[in-house]
Amino acid sequence: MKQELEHFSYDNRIVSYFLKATILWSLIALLVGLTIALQLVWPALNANTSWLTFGRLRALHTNGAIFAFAGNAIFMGVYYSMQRLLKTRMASDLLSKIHFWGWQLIIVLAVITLPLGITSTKEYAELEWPIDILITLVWVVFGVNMIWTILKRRERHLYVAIWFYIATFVTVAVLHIFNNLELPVSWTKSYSVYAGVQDALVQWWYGHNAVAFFLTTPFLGLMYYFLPKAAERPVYSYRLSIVHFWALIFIYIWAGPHHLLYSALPDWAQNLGTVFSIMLIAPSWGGMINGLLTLRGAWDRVRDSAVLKFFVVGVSAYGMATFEGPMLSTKWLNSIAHFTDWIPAHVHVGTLGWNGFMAFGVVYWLLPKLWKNGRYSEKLANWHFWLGTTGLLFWVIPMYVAGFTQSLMWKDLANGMLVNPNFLDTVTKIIPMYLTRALGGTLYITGIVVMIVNVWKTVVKGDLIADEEASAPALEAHKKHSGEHWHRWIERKPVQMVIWSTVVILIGGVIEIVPTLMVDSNVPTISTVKPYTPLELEGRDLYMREACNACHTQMIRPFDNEVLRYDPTHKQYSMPGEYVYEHPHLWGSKRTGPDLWRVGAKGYSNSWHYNHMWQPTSMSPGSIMPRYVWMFTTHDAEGNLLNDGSLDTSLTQTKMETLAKLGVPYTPEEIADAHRARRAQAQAIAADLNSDPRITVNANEEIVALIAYLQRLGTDVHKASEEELNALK
Amino acid sequence: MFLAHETSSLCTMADSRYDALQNEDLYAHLFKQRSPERAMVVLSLPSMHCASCVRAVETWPNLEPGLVDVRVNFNQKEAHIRYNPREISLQAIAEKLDFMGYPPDLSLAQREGKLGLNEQKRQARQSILELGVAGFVFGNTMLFAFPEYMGLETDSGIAELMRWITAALSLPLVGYSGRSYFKSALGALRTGQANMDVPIALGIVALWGKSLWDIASGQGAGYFDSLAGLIFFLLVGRWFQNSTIAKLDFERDYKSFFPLATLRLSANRGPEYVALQDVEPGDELRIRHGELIPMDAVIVRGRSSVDVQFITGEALPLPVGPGDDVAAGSRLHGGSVDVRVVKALDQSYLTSLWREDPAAQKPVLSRRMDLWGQWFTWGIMGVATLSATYWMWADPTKAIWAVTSVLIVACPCALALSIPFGFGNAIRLMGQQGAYVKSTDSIERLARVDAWVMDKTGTLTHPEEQRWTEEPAVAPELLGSLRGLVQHSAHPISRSLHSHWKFVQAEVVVDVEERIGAGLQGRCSAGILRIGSPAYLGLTDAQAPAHATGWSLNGHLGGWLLPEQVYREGLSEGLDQLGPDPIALLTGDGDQERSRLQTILPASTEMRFRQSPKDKLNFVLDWQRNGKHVAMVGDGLNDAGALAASDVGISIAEDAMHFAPACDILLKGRELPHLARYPKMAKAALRVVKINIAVSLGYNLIGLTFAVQGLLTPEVSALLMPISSLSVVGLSALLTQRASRKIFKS
Amino acid sequence: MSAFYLMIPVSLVLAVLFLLGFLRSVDRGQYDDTTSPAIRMLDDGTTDSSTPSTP
Repeated sequence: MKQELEHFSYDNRIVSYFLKATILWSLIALLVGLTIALQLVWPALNANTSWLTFGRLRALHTNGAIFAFAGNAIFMGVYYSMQRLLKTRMASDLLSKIHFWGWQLIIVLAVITLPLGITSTKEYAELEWPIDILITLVWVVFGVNMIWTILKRRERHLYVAIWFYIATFVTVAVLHIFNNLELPVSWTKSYSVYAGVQDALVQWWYGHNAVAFFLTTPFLGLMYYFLPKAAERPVYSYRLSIVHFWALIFIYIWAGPHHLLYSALPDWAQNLGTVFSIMLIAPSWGGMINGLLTLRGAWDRVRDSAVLKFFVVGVSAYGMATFEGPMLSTKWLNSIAHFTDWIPAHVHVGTLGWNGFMAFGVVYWLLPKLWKNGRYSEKLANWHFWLGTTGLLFWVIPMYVAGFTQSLMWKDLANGMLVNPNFLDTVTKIIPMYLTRALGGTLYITGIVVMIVNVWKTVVKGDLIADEEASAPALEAHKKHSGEHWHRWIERKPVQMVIWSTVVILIGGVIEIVPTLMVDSNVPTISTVKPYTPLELEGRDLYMREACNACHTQMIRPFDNEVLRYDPTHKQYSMPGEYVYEHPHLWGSKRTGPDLWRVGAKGYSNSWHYNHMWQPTSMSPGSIMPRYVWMFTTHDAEGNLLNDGSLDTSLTQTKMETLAKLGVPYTPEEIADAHRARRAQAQAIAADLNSDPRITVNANEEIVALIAYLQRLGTDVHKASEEELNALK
Repeated sequence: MFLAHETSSLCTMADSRYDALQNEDLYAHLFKQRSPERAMVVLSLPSMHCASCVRAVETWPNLEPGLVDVRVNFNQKEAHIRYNPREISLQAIAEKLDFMGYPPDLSLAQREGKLGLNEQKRQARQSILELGVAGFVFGNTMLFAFPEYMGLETDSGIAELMRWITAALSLPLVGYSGRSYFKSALGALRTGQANMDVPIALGIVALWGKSLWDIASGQGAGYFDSLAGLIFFLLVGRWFQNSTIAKLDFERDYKSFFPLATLRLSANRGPEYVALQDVEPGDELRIRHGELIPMDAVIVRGRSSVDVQFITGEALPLPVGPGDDVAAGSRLHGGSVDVRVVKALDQSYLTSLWREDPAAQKPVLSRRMDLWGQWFTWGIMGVATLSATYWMWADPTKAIWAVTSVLIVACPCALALSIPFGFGNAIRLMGQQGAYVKSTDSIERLARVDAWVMDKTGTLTHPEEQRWTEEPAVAPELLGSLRGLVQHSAHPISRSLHSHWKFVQAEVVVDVEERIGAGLQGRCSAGILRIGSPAYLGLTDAQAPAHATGWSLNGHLGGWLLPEQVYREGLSEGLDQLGPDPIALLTGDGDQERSRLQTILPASTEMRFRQSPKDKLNFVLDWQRNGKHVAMVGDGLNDAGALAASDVGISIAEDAMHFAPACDILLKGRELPHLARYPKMAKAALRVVKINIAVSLGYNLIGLTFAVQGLLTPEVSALLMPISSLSVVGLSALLTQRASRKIFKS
Repeated sequence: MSAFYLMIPVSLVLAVLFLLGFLRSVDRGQYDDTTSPAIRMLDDGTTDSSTPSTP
C-alpha cells in the first residue's frame, strides 16, 4: 500500500475573516442588547424614534446574537477544524468567500430592515422573505463547500465533530425553509402560510430546533475539536460521543411543543413535548460529561489557561441549561416560569455561558495560532474571563429573581381576587433587577471590549499565516462498495454538484409548500370568529411592524389568575378556534407588558388607547412602554407638518387577496369594497376620538387603524354561545 | 414469504461457494492432520454467537456419520473438527455447517494467518448496524406511540398516520435487525434440535403478525412499540453477553497459564530450557521420549518414532529420521531427536489437543444439562401453546401477551451458562494457584473423587532436588559426556542427574538410544557411554547398591550414582487433609523407603512396591470396580495407563514438555502438598453450579408464572433475559471468588 | 392540527436520512475503531513546527 505524501495548505485567511466578524458582531449585538435592557429601566432611551424602540431592537439583538455572533463564531470554528480533521483545504476558496460575504450581507440587511419594522415577527426568523431566500442560498453555498471538502478528504474516518456539522447543515436547511414558508404581499411584507395554533407549533418546532441545531450541535462539534486540542489530550470517551450523537439525531422529532405548554396546543402534543424534552437530558449530558471528563487529571492546566477556563465554564453552562430546559418543560415548572423573565435567564445561561464562552475560548486559542509574532496577551484573556463570568452571573441571577417575583405576583389570589390586579405593579417591582441585569451585561460587554483590544494587539502587530503548510498521505483506493460510482461522478464535477444540491433543496422546499396549501386545517372553529376587517388588518400589521409581540402576549392560559386578569367578564381562556385566521400567530413569549388577547373586551375607550399610544405614562403612570409618536400626524404651533402618520393603504387589497389564498374567507366583493369599508370604519373611530376636545385626529392616521385592531381583540369569542364554547372544551 | 426464499438462495449459494474445497490441497493450511482415515481441520465460524451455537456445533457429530469430534474455541470463533475422510469430505463439512447457519470463513486473509479477522470485523459491523436500526426504530416507534397514550383520539387522522408509520418502521426492524434470530432458529430446526432462538423467533413472528393484523383490520394500534422494544433489548442483551464472555477467557485460552518449556539447542549457550513462546522458527529443539513436539518441525538429527495419538487418535507410531516432517502435537517414542522448528507456535492449538476423549462418558451433571436444555426448549413451546389455547378461550386480548412473553422470558441460556461460568471460573481460579484443569468435566469429576492413588518417583519426590552421591566420584572429563547423555532423556532420573551436574558443560553425545525405564546409551568422545539400572548394565540387583543408577564406559562399569530421595516439603500435613478418602501409593521402586514413607504418608495409606505400569492400571481398575471414584497423581511417564483409566488423572508438571494429554489436571509440583484444596474447590464449584441452576430455574419459573397470566409485556421479558444471564455470570464470579479465597488463603 | 401531517413526515424523512447516513458509515468501516480517531485528531499534519503559546 504505497502512500504518497501530499502537500497542501490550510486556508487560515477565511478563518481570520470569520474571527474578526465574530468579535465585531459580538460587540454590536450585545450593545444592542444592553440598549434594550436599559430601555426597560429608562424608557426615555426609546428616544421617540421608531427605529430605536425596544420591540424593533429586540429582534435585532436576537438575530445579531444568534446569527451574527454565534453564526460567525460557528463558521470560524468549522472552517478551522474541518480542514484539519479532514486533512485537506476547503474545497473552494471562492465558495468560502461567497459564504463569508453573503453571510455578512445578510446581517447588514437585518441591521437595516429590522429597525425599519420590516419583520415577520416570528421569533429568530423575523427577517422577511427576500432575505430568507438569500439565507437559503448562502446556506447552500456553505453546505456545498462543506460536503465537497468531506468528499475530498484525506482522512477516511469522519471525526464526530464533522457529524455534528453535517447535522447542523441539513437540519437548519430543512427548518429554515419549513418555518419561513410565507406568501409575499410585497418585497417587504409577507404572511405566514400557517395560521394560529399551527403557526405556533411550526414556529416553536423551528424555534427550539434553531436552538438545538444552530446553538448546540455546531458548538458541540467545536467542543469536540477545540477542547481536546487545547487540553492536548483526546476526548474522554470517543465511543460515548458517537452514541450520544446518533441517539440525538435519530429521535429529534418532537422538540418544540414544550414551548407551548398550557397553550391552545392539544394536550397530547404538550405532554409529548414534555416527555421528549426530558429524554433529551441523556444525550445532552453525554456531551457535557465527555467534555468535562476530558480534563480529568489536567485541572491544574485549567488554572493557567484562559482558553480552558472559558471551555470549562462554557461546558458547565451547557450542562446547566440542558438540565434546566427539560425541567422547564414539565407542566408544573412551566406554569410558573412561562412568559416570565425566568425564560430569558435560561436562554442567557446558554447563550452567554455556552455559546459566548465557547466562542471566546476558540478565538483566544486561534489568535496565537493564526498570527505569528503578535502581542497576544494571556493576561487580558484572563481578565476577559473574569469579567465575562461575573457579568454572566449578574445577568442571570437577577432575572431568576425577577421571573419568580413576577410569577408569584401574577398568581397571587386572595378570596378569589387578584392581589395585584394592576399589571404595572408587577413591572415596576422588578425594575431594580432589570438594572442589575444591565450592569451584568455591561460587565460582559466590557470583557468583549478587552477581547477586541487583545485581538487588535495580536492582529496589528502580528503576521497572519494565511496559508498553513501541511501534508498527509493520499487516501488509499477505497475498497469497492456498491454505489461508489455515482459518488465519484459528483466529486469530479463540482459545478454540477452545486447546481444539483440547490435543485434538490428547492424541490424539497416546494414539496413542503404544496401540500400545505392544499390541506384543510381541522382546528375546530368557532362560529362567531370572523376575519379581520381591512382596517383591523392594517392595524394588525402595524402591531407587527412595531413588534408589539416582543412585550405583549396573546395567549390566555387556563389558569384562574390568568382568566381573572385578562378576561374578567367571561373568564374564557384561549381556544384554538379563535386563532384560525392569525397569519402569523402573535402569541408572544414574554410578558413585559400584559396579555392583550381580550383587550378589546376590557372596555378601554378609543381615547384611552389614543392617549396610551401617544404617551403610555399618561394612562399608566410608571409604564416603561415606549411612545409611538410616529403613528400620529403632528404639526407644530404654526401648523407646519412635523410628522406624517398617515396609513399606507396601497397594499390593503393585496393583503386581503394573499390571505384569501391562504384560506381566510375574504370574498371578492369584500376585497373590492375594502377601501370603502376601511374608510367608513376609520371615520367612525375618528369621530369618536374627536368628540374628546383634547384630541384632533384624522381618520387616515395609523393610530386609528391600530385602535381598530386592538378594540377587535377578544370580542368575537364573547359573541359565541355558552353551549358552543362548552362543546369545544 | 421472504424467509423461504432466503433459505433456498442460501442453499444455492452454499453449493457454489464451497466447490473449491474439492481441491483440498489448496486448503492445506486448514488441516492440522491429514491421513486417509483421520483428518483434522480448523474452521473459522464467525457466526457463532451464543452458548447454544457452541452446543449445536459440538453435538453435530452425534448426527453426522463421518465426524469424530468437534471442539469449539468460542473466543476465536473456531471449530476444530476431526473426521474420517473416507466417510465425509471437507466440502461436505463446509456445506453442512453453512446449512446449519454457521458458514465457515475461508477467505484469503485466513490463509495469511489472520484467522477470520475480516469476517470478525464484518460480524462486528453487522451487529452495530442491527443495533443501530433497532435503536432507531425503537426510539421513533415509542415517540409515535406516546400520543395515543397521552390522549390523542384513536380515530383521528394524525393517529392513523402515526400507526401506519410505526407499521412501516417495523419492516426494517423485523426484516433486518431481527433476521439473525430467524436464521439461527431455522438452522437449529434443520438439525432436528431446538436452540433458544426458536422461541424468540416464534415470539417475534407472533407479536408482529398480530400487530399487522390489528392494524389492517382496524382492531387497534398493534404492538409495534413492544415489538421494537423487544428486538432492541434482545440485541442489547446479546451484545452484553458477547462482550462479557469475550472478557472472561477461561477454558480454552491458556496462554498465560501453561508454563510449558522445551529444550532449545543454541550454538553459543548450549542446551537450555526456554519457554515455548520464546521459540522461533529456525530454532533447534531437543525432543525426548514421551514428549510432545510443540511446533511443526523437521528432524535434523536422530531416529525415533512419533505417534499422532493426541491429534487424530491414531496410536500407531511411525518411524521418523532426519529430514522427516513432524507435526505439532505428535508425540515422540524412543530415542531423542533434534528438530528444527518450521512453523511458529500455535499455543491455542496445543491446548486444544488437551481435550476430552469423545468416547468417555461425560460426567453426570454435564450430561443432564445437555438433556435438560433440549427438553426445556420444547417444553417452553408447549407451555406457550397451552397458554395460547387457554387465553384464546378465556380472554383473547391477553393471548398475545401471554404467548410472546412465555416464549421470550423463558431462557435456557441461564441453564446453559451455569456450567461454563461456574466451573469455568473455578478453572481460572485454580489456574492462578497452579493447577491447570482441562475442562469443566474434569472439575465435576474432581468434585466426586473419593479415593487417591499416588506415584512416588517424580510425584512425591522432587526430581530436580534429588541429591546424588557419586560412588566413586565421576572423573571430571567424563562429567560433560554424562551430562550430555542424560540430556537426551526426559525420565525423572535423567532430569535429576542433569540438574545434579548443572555446573558442568554438557558435551555432545551422538547415536543416543533410550530403553524406556531401563537406561540410556550414547557415543561420546571417550567411547560408548551407558547409564541406567543395574539390569541395563548387565548386572543383577544384588551386585548393585540399593536404588542405584550405574554408568559404564565402553562396557566397563564406571560407578554408581546413589540417589537420596528428597520428598516435597509439607507432604504429610498436606496429604492428611485428604481426609477420610483412602490413599494408595504405587511405585516401581523396591520397599527400601517403606519406613521413611510411613512417616510421611497418612497411616492408613496402602503401599505397594515394585509396581509395573500394568500393576498400577489394574489397581485403579480394581478400586473403580469397588465403586470408588479414583484420582491418580503421577508424572505421566510410566503410569500413563493408570492415569488415563482413573476418573481424574493429575499429572505433575514441572518445566518439561511431557504432559500427558490424557490427564485432567496439570499440577505444579510445589502445589502437591496442597492437593486437598483442589477437590474442595471443585466441590465448592459444583455447589455454585447447582445454585446457578436453581437460580436460573427460579427465574424461569417466576417469569413464566407472570408470563402465562399475561402480565408481562415482551419488552420486559426481553429485559429479563439478559438480566438472568448476567446474574448467572455475576453469581458464578462472586461465589467462586469467595470460595477460592476461603480455600486457598488458609 | 394539520401541520402535523407535514411536520411528522418531514421530521421522519430527516431522521431516516440520518439513519441511512449511519448505516452507510458503519458499512464503510467508520466505526471499526473507536479509539484511535480521538487520538489522531490531535495532530494537524502541519509541517510548520513552530509551537504557539500553549493556552
